[in-house]
Amino acid sequence: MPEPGRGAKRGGRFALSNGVYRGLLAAVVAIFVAVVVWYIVSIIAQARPAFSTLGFSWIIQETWNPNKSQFGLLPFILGTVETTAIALVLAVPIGLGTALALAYLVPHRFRAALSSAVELLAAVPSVVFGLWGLVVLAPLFREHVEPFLTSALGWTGLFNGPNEGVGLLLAGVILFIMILPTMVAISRDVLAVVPNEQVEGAMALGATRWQVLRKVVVPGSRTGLLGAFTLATGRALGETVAVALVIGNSPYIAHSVKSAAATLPSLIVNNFGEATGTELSALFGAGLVLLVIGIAVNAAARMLVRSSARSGGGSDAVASAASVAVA
Amino acid sequence: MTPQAKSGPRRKKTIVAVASLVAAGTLLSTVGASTAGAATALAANNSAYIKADLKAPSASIQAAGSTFVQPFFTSAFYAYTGKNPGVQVNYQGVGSGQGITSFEAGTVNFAASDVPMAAADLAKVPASSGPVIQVPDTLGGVTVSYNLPGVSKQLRLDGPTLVGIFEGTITKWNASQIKATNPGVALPAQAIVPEVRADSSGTTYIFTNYLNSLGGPAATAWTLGVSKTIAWPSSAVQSPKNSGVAASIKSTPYSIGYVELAYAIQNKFSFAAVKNKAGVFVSPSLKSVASDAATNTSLSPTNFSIVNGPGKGSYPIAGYSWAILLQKQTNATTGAAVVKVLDWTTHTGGGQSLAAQLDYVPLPPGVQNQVRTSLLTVKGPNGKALLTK
Repeated sequence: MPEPGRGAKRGGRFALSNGVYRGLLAAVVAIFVAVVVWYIVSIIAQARPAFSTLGFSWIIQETWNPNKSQFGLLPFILGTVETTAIALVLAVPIGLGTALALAYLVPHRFRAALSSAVELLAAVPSVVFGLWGLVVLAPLFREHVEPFLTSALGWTGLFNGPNEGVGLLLAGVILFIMILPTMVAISRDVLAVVPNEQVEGAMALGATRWQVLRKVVVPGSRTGLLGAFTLATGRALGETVAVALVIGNSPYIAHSVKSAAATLPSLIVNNFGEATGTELSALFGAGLVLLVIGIAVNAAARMLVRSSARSGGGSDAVASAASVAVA
Repeated sequence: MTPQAKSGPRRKKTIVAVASLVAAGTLLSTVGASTAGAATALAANNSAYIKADLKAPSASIQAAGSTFVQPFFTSAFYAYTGKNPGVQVNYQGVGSGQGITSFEAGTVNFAASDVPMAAADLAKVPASSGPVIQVPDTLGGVTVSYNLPGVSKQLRLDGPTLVGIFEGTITKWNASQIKATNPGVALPAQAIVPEVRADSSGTTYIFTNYLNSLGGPAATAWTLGVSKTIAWPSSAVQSPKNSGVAASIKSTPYSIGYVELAYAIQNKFSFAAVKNKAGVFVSPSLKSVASDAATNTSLSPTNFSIVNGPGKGSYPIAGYSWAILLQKQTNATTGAAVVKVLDWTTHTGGGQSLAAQLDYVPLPPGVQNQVRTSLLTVKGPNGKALLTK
């Protein structure tokens, strides 16, 4: 805060620079909003011919056969949701656990090394993950992982059919590895900004370290953790090349997590190069569906946090501070 | 082990490496010499590039299309720029369909496609642009490659068996149809994993064109159509690009898929000998593919199929790749560079001599003559032919 006297003298210049900054920021935000709106509008425009030739039902039809002008998206929608679900089932506990450990449990001298190991994963190009999955993990899954899971969890009915290596399970695991750095890096930063006073206060009340993490740190970081979850989900939903290499690209509804399947992005990346006419338009439609799924996931996660904040009554000030850190 | 003992084999390795480098160098210089010799000796012959090709004016050429010809084009254009530094060719392997789309939109000087443009595609070129010229630029075979542990003898497969495997009706390696053509081979009782292309591909077109050309009784006839994209049965594992299918076959035992010849040779795959029209089982090679191609003597953009050619030595699954350009070039300088680069690329002594080194099949002399005849009709804005003898 400036001294009152000197502030008054400079008032004019402050008002001017304030106005300039405000204008600049408004322009930046306007550009951002304009790009998003423009993007959505042009995708809709490109997808429109598909809707006008095929109606709306094509989205949930089962058959994709461009030679017969059949562009059903249902197998791809399911494949997208299933691979992302597998990735999240693994990434949420493992990512959160790693982040908690990095923020509170790992001795200081190891933190830097572990953190950079996590960030190194984030820098690997997705096609390299895909090739690694196809060449190294696929044989491993076929020979060891899938037979083991089939014998241990076969009763669930999720592991029917032959062990092929490539398929939903491998794609989900590759996605898990790819979204882990996002989960860990953001969660770690969010967890680390929980005010020390709260942590020390809880400890002073006799809480164990585990209780502090569970009752103070994690609830206080709820909004920020949601940010990590949403970004990671977005990456999993939209990943193209790596998934295309390890999922088997079979345009049929999978009846087992070991089956070859396909996702909306893998469909787009495989067919975009040669598509024309209605097929091209249908691929834009697939992009639109993906966008809607992303928005739905985002909205659902927000509602979940809002309702839990109301019922749990955790410290909202901390939560919003954490979300600022994410932004 | 003592350090001295270790250094023995290492030194030997170095010597071998140096020796092979020297050998490679000698080989290269001989190839260079013979190329130069061929150029002067064959200048009068249509099936050799003409010296004037290397006097193309400075220009930057944009081209796009087939991924199948990309490795060949990359080497050929690199070699061309080495001989004629003014000319740069930027070839983008974005896929045949995308190449044709760019050509129709007028954003590339020429396109490359594994299947020539059909009438419907040609109609999309603005009438003001004038006629379109399509010339073969290289020739390739499609292998049926497999990963069959425990079997070292080359498999022999006939057309109807391939139809069954890729339609999903033959599902085991020890099926009677496979046993019938492979007596004495211990075939495992394992499920067959068919490996196919996930993306739209000229390789798929050539392969399905072959399966479809077999005809035969309804029970064994191919029903999935001839196209760059196929609605494959659910048993098939689909991977993007030739390299994706190759990697998938490599890492999946008991799999079988169709892979372009150059990829199969470079990956050291086992590939099947396929029964040809004459009833002979022929292994894919540069020679057997060339022999198949030679059976189509009236090649044209509308009569481009060379699958299942007659002749005892023909390997039946093969196809040409095509370069596509406008007959009326709008820019004399770029236009002249385009025809000269393409003429050099499609003739012996120029690009076609590089083709064999990269496991592509050189164009037969008759086809090279045909390409020259077509390229001679390409004109600049002033109506003058751009390719001069």
